[in-house]
Amino acid sequence: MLFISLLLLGGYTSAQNVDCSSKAVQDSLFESYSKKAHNYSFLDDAWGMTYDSLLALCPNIAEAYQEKGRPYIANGNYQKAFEYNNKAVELDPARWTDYRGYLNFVYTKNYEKAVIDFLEAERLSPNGFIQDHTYAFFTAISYMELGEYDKAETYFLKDIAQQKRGKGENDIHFNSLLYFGIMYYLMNEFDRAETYLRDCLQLYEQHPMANYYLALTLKVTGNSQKNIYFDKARQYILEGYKMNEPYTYVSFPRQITLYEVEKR
Amino acid sequence: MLKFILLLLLVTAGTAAQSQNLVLPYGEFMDTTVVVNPNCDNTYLIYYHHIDTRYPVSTESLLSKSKAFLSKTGQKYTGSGYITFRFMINCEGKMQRVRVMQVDDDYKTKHFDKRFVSDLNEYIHTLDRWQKAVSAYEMNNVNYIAYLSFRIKNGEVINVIH
Repeated sequence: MLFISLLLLGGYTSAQNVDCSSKAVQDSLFESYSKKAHNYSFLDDAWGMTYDSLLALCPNIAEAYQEKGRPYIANGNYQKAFEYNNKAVELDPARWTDYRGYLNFVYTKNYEKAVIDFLEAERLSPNGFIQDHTYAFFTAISYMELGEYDKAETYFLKDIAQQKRGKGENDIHFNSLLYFGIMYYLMNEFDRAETYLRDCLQLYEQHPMANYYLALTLKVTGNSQKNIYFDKARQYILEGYKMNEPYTYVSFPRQITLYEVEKR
Repeated sequence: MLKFILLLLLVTAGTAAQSQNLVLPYGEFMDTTVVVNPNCDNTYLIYYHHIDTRYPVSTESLLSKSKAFLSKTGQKYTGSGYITFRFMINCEGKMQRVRVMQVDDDYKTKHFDKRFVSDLNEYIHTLDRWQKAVSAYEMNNVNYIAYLSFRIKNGEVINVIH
């Protein structure tokens, strides 16, 4: 660490004498350069240039490529975003395959690639989590969006089983129940859809999407309670309630707005 | 001279959809023009994520409307991948300076048929619900940069990302 500090203080940028194969050296260098990069907005050219300096020193630091991809994710430049994230996966698949899966899932809605990445991530890190959810959660929604409902159901059940681990007393994430309900709605299995959506609302009464999709389900089945849930969805959106996923620059699958709720 | 002007008008009539596609060293654009609006604060570049805004309808709504728009053109489109438009929304909700990025399903650069890109460009110009008069960083009435991306499979739009 002292060596790296002296190296950085001296502005010494040669790879000579730096053991880039050492994970400890990589981590230490990454931490130092990240501190520098975070002096800037990630949209500033200096952000990427800081990581370029690091990669000139050690071109095998996967995290640096991932960081370089960030501005391109935010700006919809998929070519650059995946060029850097593919490099991160190539260098450290166990660390970055799930993240690329998440990018394929939420940022490009490339559900075919998301499934491939999450299945591989599961193989590399069984029962792993990313962004508050199991890999199975993202695999399930991806299969749902691909219309492969049998597989989606299998992975929703795996997601729930994984969350119930131990004594089986843990609460299930409300968005697992939400999307399980939406899947049954899409399958025209309205009784099951209603069950899961009501279960979701037991955990998060103000969930705008759960209220909306329950309203849609009740509308199809001719249940006069539908307007109660359309009204609730509208009210809770106006009060600022959200689906409470970690912040993303783009919408989650099937995410709704006030516009859809008001159309009923 | 009058004949020439009339001819020019006839030639250009109905070609609004055939938007230009300008290839510049820093990207490809459908339109590079920006009309400075004195009502808008242009001091700093603001991005949609700075102000936590996106076009205020769902992906499903945008998808069905874009498909309906494209079906009216009577065109047959081809190709798979993504057509992404990045643009400025001024403080009055008007879209300007539209950059276009095109990649295949593996995120490698490609070019769709120009007519397809032009028709989608024309579609995004019909969107009139952009957030207006936005405040950010102690500035009022800012312009902001946003994007919309169309995922395409065999010539059909299958998702809209925003």
